[in-house]
Parts: sequence; C-alpha cells; structure tokens
Amino acid sequence: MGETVGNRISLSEEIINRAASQAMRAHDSGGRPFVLDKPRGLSVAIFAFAGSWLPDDWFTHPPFGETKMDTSTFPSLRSIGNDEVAVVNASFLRRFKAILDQLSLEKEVRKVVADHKQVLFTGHSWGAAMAILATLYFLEKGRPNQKPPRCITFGSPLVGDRIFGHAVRREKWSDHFIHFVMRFDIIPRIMLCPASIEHQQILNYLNPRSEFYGKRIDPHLAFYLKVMRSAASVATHDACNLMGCTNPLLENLRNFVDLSPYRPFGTFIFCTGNGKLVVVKDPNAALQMLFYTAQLSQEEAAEIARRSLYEHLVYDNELQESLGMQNVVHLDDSLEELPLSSDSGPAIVNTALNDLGLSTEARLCLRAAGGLENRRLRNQAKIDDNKQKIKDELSKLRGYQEKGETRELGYYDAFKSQEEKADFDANVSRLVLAGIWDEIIEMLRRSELPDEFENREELIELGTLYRRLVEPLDIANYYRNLKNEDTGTYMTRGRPKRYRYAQRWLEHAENKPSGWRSESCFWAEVEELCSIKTGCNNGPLQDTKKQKIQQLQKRLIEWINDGCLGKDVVLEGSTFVKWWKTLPSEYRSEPESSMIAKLIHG
Amino acid sequence: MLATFLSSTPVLQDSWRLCSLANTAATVVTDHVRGVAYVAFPGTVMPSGGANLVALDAAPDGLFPPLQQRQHEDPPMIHAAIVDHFRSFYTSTTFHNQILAEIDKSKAVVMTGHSMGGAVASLSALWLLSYLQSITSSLPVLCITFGSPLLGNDSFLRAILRERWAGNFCHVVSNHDFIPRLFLAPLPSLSAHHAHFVLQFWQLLMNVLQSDSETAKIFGFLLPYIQGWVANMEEECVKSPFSPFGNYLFFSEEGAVCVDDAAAAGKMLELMFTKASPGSSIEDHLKYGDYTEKASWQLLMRKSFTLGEPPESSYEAGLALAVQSCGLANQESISGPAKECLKMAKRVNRLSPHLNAANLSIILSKNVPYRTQIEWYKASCDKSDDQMGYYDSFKLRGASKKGAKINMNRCLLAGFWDNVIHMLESNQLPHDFLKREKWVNASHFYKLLVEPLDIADYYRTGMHLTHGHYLKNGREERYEIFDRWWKGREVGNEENNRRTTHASLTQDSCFWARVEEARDWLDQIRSESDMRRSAMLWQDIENFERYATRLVENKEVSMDVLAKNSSFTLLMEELQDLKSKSQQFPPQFPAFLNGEMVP
Repeated sequence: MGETVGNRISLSEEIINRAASQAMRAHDSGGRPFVLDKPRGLSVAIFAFAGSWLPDDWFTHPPFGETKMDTSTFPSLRSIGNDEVAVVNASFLRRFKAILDQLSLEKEVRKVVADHKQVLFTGHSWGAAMAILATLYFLEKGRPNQKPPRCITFGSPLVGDRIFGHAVRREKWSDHFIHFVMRFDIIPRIMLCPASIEHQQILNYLNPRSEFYGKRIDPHLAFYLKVMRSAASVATHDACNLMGCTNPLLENLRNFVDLSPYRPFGTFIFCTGNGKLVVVKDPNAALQMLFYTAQLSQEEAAEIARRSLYEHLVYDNELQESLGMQNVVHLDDSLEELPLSSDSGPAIVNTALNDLGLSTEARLCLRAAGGLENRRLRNQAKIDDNKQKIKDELSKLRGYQEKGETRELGYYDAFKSQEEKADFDANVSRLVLAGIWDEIIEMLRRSELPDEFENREELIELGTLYRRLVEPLDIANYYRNLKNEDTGTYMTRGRPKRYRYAQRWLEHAENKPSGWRSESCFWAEVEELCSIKTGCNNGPLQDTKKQKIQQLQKRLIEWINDGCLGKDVVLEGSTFVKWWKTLPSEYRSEPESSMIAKLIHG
Repeated sequence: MLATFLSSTPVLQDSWRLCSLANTAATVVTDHVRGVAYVAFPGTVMPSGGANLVALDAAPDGLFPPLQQRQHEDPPMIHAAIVDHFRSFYTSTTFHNQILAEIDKSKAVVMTGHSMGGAVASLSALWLLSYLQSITSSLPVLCITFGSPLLGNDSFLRAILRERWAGNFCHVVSNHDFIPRLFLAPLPSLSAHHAHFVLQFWQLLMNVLQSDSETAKIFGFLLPYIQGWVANMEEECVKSPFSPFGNYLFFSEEGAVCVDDAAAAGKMLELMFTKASPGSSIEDHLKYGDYTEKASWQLLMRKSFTLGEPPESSYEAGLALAVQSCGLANQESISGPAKECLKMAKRVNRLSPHLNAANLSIILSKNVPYRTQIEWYKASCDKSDDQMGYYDSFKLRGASKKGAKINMNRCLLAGFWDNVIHMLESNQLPHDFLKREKWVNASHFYKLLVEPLDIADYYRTGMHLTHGHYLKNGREERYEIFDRWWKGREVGNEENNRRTTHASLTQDSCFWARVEEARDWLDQIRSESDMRRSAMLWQDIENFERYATRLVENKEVSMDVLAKNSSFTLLMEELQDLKSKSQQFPPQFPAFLNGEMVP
C-alpha cells in the first residue's frame, strides 16, 4: 500500500480528523468568523472558519460574480511575464477582508507563531473559501525562517481562476492546500455554474440554522443537471484544449457561451464514498475529475441529485472511516498511463477509478491532462538545451561591447552607425537571440511551460544579462531606422515583449515595483530627450523635460554604481555625452552633474 | 470532444428553438439570449430553379467581396437557386434594418436555419462577415444550420478557409437526414424529375411541420423518389461539384462527432448514410429537436466502450470512441473506413498553431539576416559614388557577386513569407496571429525594403514589355495581403506627427513602380502626335508629380529616392525640361495648361 495520506501531505491523520470536526463545529460558533483550537499533544493550532449561506456571500453579480484580485493585499497572485491579475470570487474576497479588518485573526496568528506552532487553517463549505484566502494572506506575508501555514478544506467551492492557480504553483505553495471532496458533493462544482434563483433553495437546505435544513426540496434534480451541464461545458472545453484541438470553432464558441472562469488548484483528495481516497494534484486533471466523477450512469438521476446535496454534510464521518482504512491511490505519478478500461492495469488504481465511476472517456481526458504537463516539461528541457546557444551569442556580443569601448564610441553608437563588419555580425547575433527569446515568450503566452518556469533563478539571471546587453542594440536599431517617426517612441510602441517580460521577472524576484529595473532602456530615454528641442521656450514641456533630465541623471549614477549599466555610456564619443555637454546649466543639478563629469573624464 | 462541448452549451438548443419558430411563422425570426442575437431563417419557403452552380458575386461592390477567385483556381461557385432565394431576403429593406439593429445591441450574432433556411443562414452569415470586415468590426458571428443542403464548390470552400471563416460555421447533420447529402450525387442525376421532386419535398415539408397527420401521406408520396435516389447515391457519389465547408456536427443515436476537414466531412456524410432507410432519411430531417435534446442528456452519462476492450494508446482509443459516437461501431464494413476518415480529420493539423507560431519566430530570426544584408546593401548604395540609390543599382546591376547575392536573398525571403501566408490561410497559425505587432511590423518592413527590388527586377528583365506594368500585372499577391494586414492593425493616435527627417524606407513600397509608369508616359508624350492622347498623358503625369511632391515634402521617401543619379531625380529633371519647352509653345499642350480639354 505504501504511503499513507498523512505521510504524503505531511500532516497526521489525527490532525486531519481534528480539522474536519472543527470545520463542522465552526458553523455553530455563534456569529464569530472563526474558532481557534489548540489541541493538546499536537503541534498545531487550528483556525476553523464558519460558513455562510446568504446568497450574497456566494455571488455578487451574475453570471459568475468574479473580480480582479486585490494585488496590494495579494501581490503574488498574477502572472509575471504576461502580467495578468488573477480573478477571484468577489464575495469571498470582500468577506475575507472584512474578517481581516477585525484584526483578531492577525493577532491570534501572531501569537501562535510566537509559540512555534504550526498554523493550520480549515473550513467546510463557504468557510473553506475563507480558509484558503487566509492561508494565502499569511503565505504572502510569510518570512523565510517561518513555518508556512497549511490549509485543509472540506467541500470547498472553487475560489479563483486559472491564473490564481498558476501563481500559487509558481510560488510553490500548492502543497500547502489540501481539499477533500466527496464524490457527488455539489458545492465544489457550484462555481462552474452561473448564478440563479435556485441557489437560494440549495443554500437553505445546507444551512443548519435554516428551517429547510436537510429537508427534501423539489427542484433539486433540475439544479443538479444545470450544474452538471455547466461543469460539462467547462470540462470539455478545457479537454479540447488539452487534446490539442485546433479547430477555430472552439475559439469562436467562447464568444457565445458563458464559461465559468473558476478552476481548481492545490491537492485534491476525492472520497469514493466507500472508504477509498484518490489524490490528484494536477489542476487540469482535478477539473476533469470534478465533472466526470459525478456523471450519471444507470442509477436513477434523482438519487444522485439527492446525494449531491447530502454528501456535502457528511465529511467528518466519511473521513474518519477512510483515514482509518488508508486505501489511497495517487494519480499524479502515472496520469498519462492510466488504464483505459475498467479491468486492466494495477488493481488498486482500477478499483478506485471504478468506484469513482470514471469512464473510458473520463480516463482519456485525465491522460490528456497528464500529457500536457509532460509536454510542458519537454518544452522546458528544450529551452534548457538552448541555454548554451544563448550564452555563446551573448559572449560574442560582450566581445563586441568591449571592442566598442576601444573605438571611444561605445557599442550603442557603433551599432547605430553600422559601419563595420562587426556591426553587421552583432546585428545577426541580436536577431538570433531575438528568435530564441521570442519562442520562450510565445510558449509562456500559451501556458506551454511549467508553472514554476518564471520563478527559476537561472532564467531570471540569464534574462537580465540578455536584457542589459542586447536591448541597447534594439534601441539603436529602432532609432537608426527612424521607427520612432513611423510609429512612435520606443517605450510606448516599439519595445519588444521579450525585454518587458525579462524586466518583470527580475522585478518580481526582487519584490520591486514595476518600472524599477528599466536600466536597459536608458538609451531610449536619451534618444527621446534628445529629440525634444531645447531651443523653443515651451513652458510646461520644458518643465517636464527638466524633471526628466534630472531624474535620468540621478538614476544613471545609481545604475552605474550598481554595475547594471556599462561604463560605455560615458565614453567621450557617445550620443549621451555629446548631448549632455550641450545641456544648458539649468538642466543640471548638483551633485549629480559633477559626478557625471567625473565619470566621463575618469 | 468538441461535439460534447457544443452539446453541453445552450447554443444548439436555443438555435433550434428559434428555427422551429421561424418554420412555423415562415418568416425571419429574431431573439436575444444573454446578449447574443439569434436570427433564424425559415426552412419552409420554397426555392425556385434547378440545382446548378453560379459564380459567387465577389465584386468589390458585390455581396461577398472578400471571397475572390485566386489565380490558377476555379471561381468560387454556389447553388443558383439558393442564392436567388437569399437575394429575395436580402433585397428587402427590412432585412437590412433588422439585422443591423440586432448587431448594434448585441455582443455576438448567431445565424441559424433549418433545411433550406440553413443554406440561407450560411449566405447571410457570409454576407455579414464580409460587411463586418469592410467596417473592421470584430463582432463574433456563428452560423448554425440544421440539415442544410450543400452550398458551394471546392473553390468556395477554399475561399472561406483563406478568410479563416471556417470556424464561424457549424452544420448540424442528424444520422440519416438526406437533405445534406442531396447534392452529393452528380448533377445529371438531379435532372428534371429530381429537381421537381425537391420542389415538391420542400413544399410538403411545411405541412409536415404544421401537422403530424400529414406525415404518413407524404411518406407514401415520397418513398419511390427517395428509393431511386438512394440507389443513385450509392453508385455515384464520387464526383459531385459540391463540397462541404465549415464544421460538421454529426448526430447519431449513440452520440455526436464534430469534423472540420471538408474531405472527411464528405466521406462521413456518405458513410453514415449507408444504413439509412427511405423512412429514416426523411424522418431524421425533421427530428433535430429530439437529437439536440438527447445529446444534452447523453453527455451527462458515462461513456465507455460497449464493445470489447479499448486499445491501449490514447489516440486509438479516442478514435474508437468517436466511431462509436457515430453509431458505426457495430457495423464492421463501415467502422473501418469511418475510423480512417476521422483519422484524416484529426491529422490535418497535428502541431498546434501556437507551437507553429513559436517555431515561426525561430525561422524568422534565421531569415532576418537575409533582410539585414539587403539593408546593408541599401546603405552601401546610398554611400557609393555613383549616387543611384539601391533601386537603380539593383536594376542596372552587372554580373556582380553582390547583386546576385541580394537577388538570392530576395527570393529566399519571398519563399519564407509565402510560407507564412500559406500557414495562415490553411489555419495552421493562431487566431490572433495578425493582432501581434511583431508579425505585422516585420511583414511591413519587409515589404517596404524588398518590394522596390521586385519592381527593379521586373523592369530589368523587361517583363513590363510582355506583361504590362508592374502595378496592374506584376505585383505579387503577398504584398497586397501585407497591405491589408498593415491597414487592419490597431492604430495608435500618435500617427500624425510630422517627420523631421527623411524616412529610412520609402513609405509607399510601390513608389518605384509609379516612377516607372510615369517614365513610360513621358516617353510616350514625346512621340505622341494625337493631342487628345497627349493631354491625357499630361494629366497622368501631373497626378504623379503631385503625388511624388507630397511624399517628398512629408519626408515619406527615403534618401535613396533623392540621390543625385536616381531614376526619380533624373525623371523629375527631364520633366522640368520638357515642361519649360512646352511653355515656349503653349498651344501645343492646351489641356495641361488650362486643366481641361479644348474642343
């Protein structure tokens, strides 16, 4: 049987059970948003969040009630290169911030941390969403030497979109989130379906304080079918993409159908209902499981619809039983080789898959999800193979840069004049590099690379090296060909994505605001300032120019001292020095001015 | 899988609901669902005329300007009677107003129709796409037809693929429905009595939709015809001039499959019909409501193999499931070919467009050095002593190694860009490819730099003597395509800045072709004795001069144009010379001086 669940997720069964019962008990907390439990003998403190069954706390607006993530509270929840902000359920975010504003949560957490205890957030149903946001909040604030908080949810609704999950995986936080899902439970699927009036009834059914709690309700079959059809749309749409469907109809259809933006993230553990547990981490596979495990078969649909509600309420009992049996299957290791028919392959895997009701079609989709992840890894390996090539071309250009210094001109101006064979060769190197990097950017745009890709130190380093050395050549080329007159300034219209991405990688890694690392655009600034005529006395324009020039001087000194800008910019013959010398004295400010003069002559 | 996705969305059921409304009302019906406009065309209105093809109206002021004929291809043709039928809708003013009003208040438009109405919906969608292209709107359009007859020929299909509109069409075909297969039989067999039969059928269809009691009577009437037709179909459904286009969604009792390859769709139409009976072939034409309803149920049920063990490889297993969805798994003689056919549909595009685009970046970077060498060449010509500019240097080049190298580069780049266009038109590149500045800019830059060389080569080899001038007769299609890309890009608002220095490349890539034409006119004037003719020539030359002056004044020409010995400079000198001479003898050129003809 190998590993137990507890080993795999490094939390003991005892803690999981405790969390489950706390999560259910939190609903009766008498209006408090969470209860804190410090069980004796265990090294954890459990924060369990209470639920809410007000429709407004689930969906603020139809169809899906989503909003952009608040990046000041959650700065990491975005994609870096593509620069898209994650999407999150607006109600969840609003209510979580309200809890945060009461300050007691932060205070309690700080106390627990001071006690050197592991913080564990948990919640059932709506409370699970709060637990997820709380965990993220403290992960964002976490310091390197601290034990990161953990999160266990039971029957959690989906909280965020694809980018949300991507960001969590990129930051390597995925393992901190464990979601338990009963096979037919409707709540983990509910966010895949547009909001409707039926939601109210369902929430009443699930609300322990409502008079309809647990009572038979009439249209539950219709509701179940509705949720499942929407889930089918999302799952099959994603499966088409996983299987590499290239039909333009697929893209066109997106314009006609409201597809839910929400996607799963973290580690999912599906409970079969007869004591088996199936663990899956791959987010695409988890989505397919959410749909296919709840598909109908010959059984009566009404019975399944009833179970879809009932199962949401029995997590604590079910887990007690399942964790005792330790009948666990991990799918991620062999997703692409999953047995297709119900009686081939390893028996343990197959019985578990059968117990979840996964058909051949479902297994094909799961295989495709595994295929995507493997493809991403292959793409990354291919890029790693290109690294040497990038380094070779960069060292050629480095030689060119050094040679430029002996020409007393700097390589920027040498390249711009394109007079020698070396200039031509440098242009070819520039273009070869552009091709390699553009391929990487294209793959990132299509999410064809592993989620952690942009968080790899080696890449950020290489990208920065490339950007600092080669971007001046792109700028030189831009202004040499007068493209600023054709289309607009380099910074607004001409800057290639490959440099924008590389800059954002570095800024994210160093936790710096956007625009902080723009040293490689130094020449573009200079060219633009050169092109504003000094003569004409156009009041406001001159003022902004003055400001810009003074700021540029300041930053130039910083950059040169940091070593991220080469000394070649202050060579006698460079555009910058020539221009700088013509500046009237009112544009120069001390002490920068004399420092620059020193740089030029020293 | 795409078929399942389609069935899970409400789009199909909403479309069908409206189609049946349109059928009962026998008029165009519109509706709004979640911000999407639905327009349904009635299928019960009878078409007139036989089943022959006419050329598509692709004139610039016609109905479908983008769907033009390509060199070495047959003209795109469509069904004559259907296009007449469409015109009868199109010419009514309410149609226009109705549709344009719907567009204004919607985020997307669905055109739909059953039977004959489906064919009309296809044409309306094509018209709408053409119209939207002309006003550069990107409103999403989807056409969903139910049991529509085939509409056009192979060139028609290719013209639609070129415009990348195939993804806007989805033709739903139920199991045995015979209408979509009607024109698969060759034309001769659809002679007089068949055409008559089709008319009758459509006429009666209306009644069927209104009352079920009529059905039995109609079957009795139609059966012999259909039997004859089915026999015909089995024998000779090989060479029909009609070809499917867009996506086909096939419904069977077991499920659904979606096929986007035309050849595969044609084959599937045939294969799925093999087990049809005359009765089922009529019934299925009327049962789209049942099929869409059933499909939305089927997708909630678990789908596994009903027959034996599934194959181990995902690819094979996927195919086998698709064959099962077509309802053909039980029929050994057909399941084999059906599998091959679905394989064909899958194979069209094995590499994803996005990876293709990424690979293309690499190939572009390998090709850019050729372009850089040409830039280098241009710069060296600008600096050389003969002061001719790169256009004339290239045109007058001797057997120099440099010239040959540049010519070689020119050809290599042409090959590269032709390949990009081919990939784009055959749908191997992502949908938003043309929204990427990198590619639009690269193609534009290429055009500005290299087209002058093409022109130079054209006049150098004397092609203009045999074929006529470059602009009308020699210009490569790719440059026109690039013109369209450039025009269609998203334009910022900083475009109107005045240039402070001359552009690095002349902004009109056909500038030199115009120079050559003007040069030709000038030569003609000298030898022209007919006053009327020469007055016309002067007018042309004057137009050219105005155009060239504007370009030069706006600094939109590059320095090489103004080089001391460039053919443009020489031409202008000659022109001034001739003008001053003509001013000495004013009566000789009255038209030029007065600006109008003297009788």
